[in-house]
Amino acid sequence: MTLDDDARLPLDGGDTRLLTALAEAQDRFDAPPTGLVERLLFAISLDLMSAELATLEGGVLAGVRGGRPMTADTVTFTASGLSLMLVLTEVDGGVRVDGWVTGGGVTVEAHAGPEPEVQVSDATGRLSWPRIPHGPVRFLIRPPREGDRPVITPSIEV
Amino acid sequence: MTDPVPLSRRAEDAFRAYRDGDAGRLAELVALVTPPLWAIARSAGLDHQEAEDALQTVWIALVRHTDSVAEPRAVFAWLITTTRRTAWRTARRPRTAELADAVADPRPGPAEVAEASDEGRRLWRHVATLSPRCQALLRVIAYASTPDYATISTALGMPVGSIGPTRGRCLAALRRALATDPTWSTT
Repeated sequence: MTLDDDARLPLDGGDTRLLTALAEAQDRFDAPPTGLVERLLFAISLDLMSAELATLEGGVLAGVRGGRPMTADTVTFTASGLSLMLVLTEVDGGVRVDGWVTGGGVTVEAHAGPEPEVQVSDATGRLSWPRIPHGPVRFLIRPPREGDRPVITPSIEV
Repeated sequence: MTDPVPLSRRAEDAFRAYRDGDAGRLAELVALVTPPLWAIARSAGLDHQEAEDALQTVWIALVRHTDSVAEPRAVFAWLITTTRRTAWRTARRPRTAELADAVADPRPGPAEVAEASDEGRRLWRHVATLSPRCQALLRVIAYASTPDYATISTALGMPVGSIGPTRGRCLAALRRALATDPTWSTT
């Protein structure tokens, strides 16, 4: 049987079983990573709302290599209209994050898992997350004024 | 494989609803089509981060240019074609050293290899020996159902004949590879 004849045969039960086995092998050896769909949806929503990407300030930048998340105890992000400072403290099973943002009543979302953890700054700009799981996290600062762009931070490793 | 409603049709329904203003249906579309798109990016030899970046580019292109998809019916093919082009462009980019053998590398972790001395593992190794294009085709088809085959082949740049669902050269190549493997059971 030539190559062409072989390829022109109609699909049979063996083909169907093979494709089923291939589907199982694919799930096992190269399935999409956990959380991929959520991260894609988050990236889409950032694009749709034209979020401004904040920059990391100061010496901690030295620890950032090749776009990979980094580790630090204190980080400051700045954007055109505001800044966000975070102090990270190890707690049982995660990291406590104490933050200060420019202005009171500002909504900041911590995106570490499928669901964001939302905090609103008090009158002095203070806000905190009691426990964020270890791993990559980024923060989305909702615009304090109507019509302003939201601000998204780069991902950091906590 | 056996889903009664073809993947292309479910993608069409979700995309049409999204385009007509039901923003929530986008999440359904992304969840539905991301696994086959991941398979295409990985078949092109991209590592995890590159594949994720490629998929992000594709989905953002879709929401930015929703109107450029002429017909909701075509969204599945549009996503496949755009992912193929994006992934193959990344794969062709000169990278440090390892590109040559990256194209056929399914990259299971060492622990998986150790514990998977079974049929699934052997099948996966044979799949990895196929051309990137055939890997993409078979991996996407494995997520879909028969009525989707022609759409998938065409969108991957391998138009099929008009004589209904045949095995095609990729599935034929995989079967020939397995036929020469004495450890593979054909039953």
